[in-house]
Amino acid sequence: MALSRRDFLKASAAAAALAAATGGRLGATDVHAAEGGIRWGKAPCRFCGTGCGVLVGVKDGRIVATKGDPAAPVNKGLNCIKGYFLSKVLYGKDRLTKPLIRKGNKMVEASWDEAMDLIASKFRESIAKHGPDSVAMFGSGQWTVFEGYAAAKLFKAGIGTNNIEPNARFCMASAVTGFMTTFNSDEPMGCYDDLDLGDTYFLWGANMAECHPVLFSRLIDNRLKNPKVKIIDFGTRFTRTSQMADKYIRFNPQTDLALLNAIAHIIVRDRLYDENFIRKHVVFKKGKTNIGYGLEDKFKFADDPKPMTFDEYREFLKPYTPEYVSKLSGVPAKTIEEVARLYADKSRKVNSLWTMGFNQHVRGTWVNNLVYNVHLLTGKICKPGENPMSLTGQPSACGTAREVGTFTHRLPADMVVMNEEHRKKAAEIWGVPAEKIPAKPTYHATEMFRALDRGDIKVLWVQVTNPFQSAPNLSRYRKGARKGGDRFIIVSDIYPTRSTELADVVLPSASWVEKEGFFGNAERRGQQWFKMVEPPGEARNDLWQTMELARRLGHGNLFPYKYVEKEMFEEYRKFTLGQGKDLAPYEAYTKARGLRWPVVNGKETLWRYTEGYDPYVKAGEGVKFYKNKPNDYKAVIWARPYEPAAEAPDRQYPFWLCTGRVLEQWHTGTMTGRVPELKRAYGGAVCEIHPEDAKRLKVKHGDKVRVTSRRGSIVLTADLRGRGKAEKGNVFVAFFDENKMINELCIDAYCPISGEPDYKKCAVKLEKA
Amino acid sequence: MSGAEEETKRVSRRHFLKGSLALPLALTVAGGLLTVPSLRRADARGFYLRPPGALAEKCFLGACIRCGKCVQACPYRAIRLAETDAGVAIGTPFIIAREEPCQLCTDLPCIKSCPSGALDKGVTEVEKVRMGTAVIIDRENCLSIRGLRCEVCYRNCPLIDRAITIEPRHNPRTGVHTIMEPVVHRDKCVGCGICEKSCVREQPVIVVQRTPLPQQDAYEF
Amino acid sequence: MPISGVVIKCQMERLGELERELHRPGSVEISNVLGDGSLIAVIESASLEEEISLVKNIMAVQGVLDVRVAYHNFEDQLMAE
Ligand code: SF4
Ligand code: SF4
Repeated sequence: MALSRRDFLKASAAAAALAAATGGRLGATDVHAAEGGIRWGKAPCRFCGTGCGVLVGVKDGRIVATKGDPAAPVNKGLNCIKGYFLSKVLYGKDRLTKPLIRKGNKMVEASWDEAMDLIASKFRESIAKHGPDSVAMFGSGQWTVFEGYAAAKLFKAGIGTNNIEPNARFCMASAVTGFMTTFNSDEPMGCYDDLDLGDTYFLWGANMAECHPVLFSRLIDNRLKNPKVKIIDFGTRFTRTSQMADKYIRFNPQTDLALLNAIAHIIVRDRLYDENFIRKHVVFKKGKTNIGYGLEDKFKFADDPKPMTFDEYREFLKPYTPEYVSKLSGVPAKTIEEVARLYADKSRKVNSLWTMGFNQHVRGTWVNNLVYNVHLLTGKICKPGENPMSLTGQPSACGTAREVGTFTHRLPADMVVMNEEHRKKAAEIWGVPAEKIPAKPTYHATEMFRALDRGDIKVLWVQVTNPFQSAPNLSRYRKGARKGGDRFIIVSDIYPTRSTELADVVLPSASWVEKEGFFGNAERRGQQWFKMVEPPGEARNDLWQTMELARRLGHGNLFPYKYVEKEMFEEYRKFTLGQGKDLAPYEAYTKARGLRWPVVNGKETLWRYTEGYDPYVKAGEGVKFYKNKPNDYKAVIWARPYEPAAEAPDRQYPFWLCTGRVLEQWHTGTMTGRVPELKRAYGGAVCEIHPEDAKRLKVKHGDKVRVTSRRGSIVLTADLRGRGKAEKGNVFVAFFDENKMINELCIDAYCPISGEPDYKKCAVKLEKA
Repeated sequence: MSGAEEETKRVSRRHFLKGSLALPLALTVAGGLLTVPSLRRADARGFYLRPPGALAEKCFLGACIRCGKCVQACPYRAIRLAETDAGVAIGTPFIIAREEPCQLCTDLPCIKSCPSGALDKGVTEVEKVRMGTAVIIDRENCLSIRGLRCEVCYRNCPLIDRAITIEPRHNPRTGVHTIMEPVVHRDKCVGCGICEKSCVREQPVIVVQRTPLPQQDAYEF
Repeated sequence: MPISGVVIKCQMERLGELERELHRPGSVEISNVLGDGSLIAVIESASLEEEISLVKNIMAVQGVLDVRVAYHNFEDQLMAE
């Protein structure tokens, strides 16, 4: 008796210890089970544009674990906290598993056949009655290459409309037009190795510490190793990045344009430029000024580039004296001088890094041009450890949206629909007559939602994105979507979102490793993964959904593949070969931890346009901007002036509102919001206010404040102690929170060249609520 | 007062004999760390996280009249009253940080509401509050110390860059990344427990503990 | 006679050896080996003092990173008092 009691106690002791060690999942991590059972496969992270590699552990048809891939060059086994929880993002309780069709105010479960029949009939009707430009697709920088390619092909070569746009118009479009206007080829010359090799880093409107976490860790490590390294953070808000930078330079919103011109002014004034580089590789141009803000529906803009001489450019820079720009920007003239000298210092390897502060800007294209100007003047470009580098926010904004070309005006590999040659080439690869592809771009994203509101677009299909939370001036477009009439909205997603709630049909999608995929990250690295688990319930791949619509509309012949992904990729690859954008054969990607294009003879390219690295540059050429044929293979320095923001604070609305991200949550929070740990870590949007402004308003930390713009109004908790420190006269709110949709307040003004809206600047007022 | 102290002793003795709390303390001292259940009432050393401004535990137990006013005053419902399992502390206010930590209201309404002085009215600024001290009790399970970009506790710290800072160091495992270690500074940490609540691990690896007493010596560093 | 359940965190490389080394029927019994490098053990001893020194000794063994007590029973001792 005594003995058995003792045994019992011992057994409970062991069980309790085991439970403590395994978190209650008894036996789940038994060493023997751990060795067998779990199969590991590689995939890129589902979240940001960094493109970390992860290993996905699958057992009994479920993802049971993920870990950073030690073999992935980007992250070498590390992740940020979002990547750490990847195994949970697909398993939220409310996954969509059945197609839903709206019946009045209710969404009713339906079969795929019913749903696809309904969708196809709506497309057919609308095309017959109102023409192909009445139907549209709004996709994503989270589309796999296959999904984006299929959608572009169906719309441009099948249905015959350019009504296709990605959400990347909201985040990367200005980077694209920046690259195109300066170099005539999209995507950066440098790569992440520059983070290890340079010694001077200027961050412009980029909170890298939170938005590119693993890259920031790499940048900081460079400084730990090399005391020469300097990190200078230009911003309008003190962030975790500013905290770790060597210098934080705050400037008034929108004056980055003037600052960059002042830097160029000093470089030219003091002859700090690289004369040889300029003579060989640069031409000067100017475009239109006073270009507007796109606030009116159907706003149109076409630039009119005119060549200019170096002397004329020098004249253009004259007014941007450090003193003048200091008044405008709030940056001391002395600091501007110092920065210009750092940029020009011959002993320094200088890099500029930027994200949404530049891109989401009513002069986004210009400010991208202006930062290239400084690098081109000083010749600090196309060298290992010395480059301007535009960072991206989505896992395949580059790989899919930009390179496949899922914008209204684009075709794969830098081609555009306006160019007859390009249309011919595309039509040939796609096996359709060249006339099939319309020559006129239609709507860019903001205009697309305006067209839906007006009723010019009747049928809209949204895939892998959440525009009815992420569009600017949101109320107008949310209302527009439900105005009725012939409007019909389809949303494919994996969870209920603020967009699915407005849909007439909701399609349950497969996500990430529930399908085979391919993403391209910010350093031109293409990464492939295989399907590892089945999607839940009846959820299906967006690729299948698009091809199924094609079949039902009689365009099935556009997709004649057996092994769809591989054959489609090989077809897409034809666009890239010989164009300096060469992708490797599909096979190569199934093995490699990603490859940076152009991949020629099995070798990836670390630095574009550079002899010895880029196979397109011949021996003796040094640097050659070989994509810029119209400009004699030279890059363009643009004279782009300072122009004010679309809406600036005034008596009635005295604060600047800036929106953005936090590390723990991603985009509109539909995935990260399903991970309890991430929710606990950052649960809801708050309003960062400067303590002095708060004092004037009699608002304490934790109080409720009402934030109101001319477009909308919400109540938020005031945050005076947070990770981000608002500057005086500025407030900041994160946009992920579906219960606090700050984008209702944002203005839908955009850069006339790129069409990208300015989410970083509008005027608001604050009241204690 | 001495009567109350006597009572404390007696009851905690009985508490000890009931065998749930005191013994593992000895083992902790002997063997290093102790499993910390995620929702601690009192931790292994009988440490209760008290509301801001609470007097030293012994005095607090004597002074607190168990009226529950601070519980009512807390807008976040972070303060609760100890139940029967608390022994002598029954009816006293305390906080379970992992569930709802102290949010450090600027005007400290709990202290204002306290009629007995158990919460010290002399504490008027949140920076002066000393409820305890956050400690990373399990370095090996801290994701940041393992090189991941977590630092959730740091970014949630209401005294960010003061009570918790990031100490970056080279990560020799990857050769190109930084380990960004959150480090708690005892002289600044108020013990609110927001970090403990926010830690992303199943068991929080950063928890608030009793503030260790300063130990005097003659060195200036 | 106190009985405790403990989690012994070990260096991965030494896990197998430690499993054998630490196992002493009647005082330290390893009941499980976990994939994360922990051993689950039941510790029996005559008195609290003995138990403390046992844990101390385990801590001192090379390759042991950490010992955590997850469960403790000492009802016999209570009765004795
Ligand atoms: S979100 Fe970005 S930084 Fe974080 S793990 Fe994923 S790819 Fe890496
Ligand atoms: S939240 Fe937890 S795991 Fe993350 S850094 Fe802080 S203590 Fe470490």
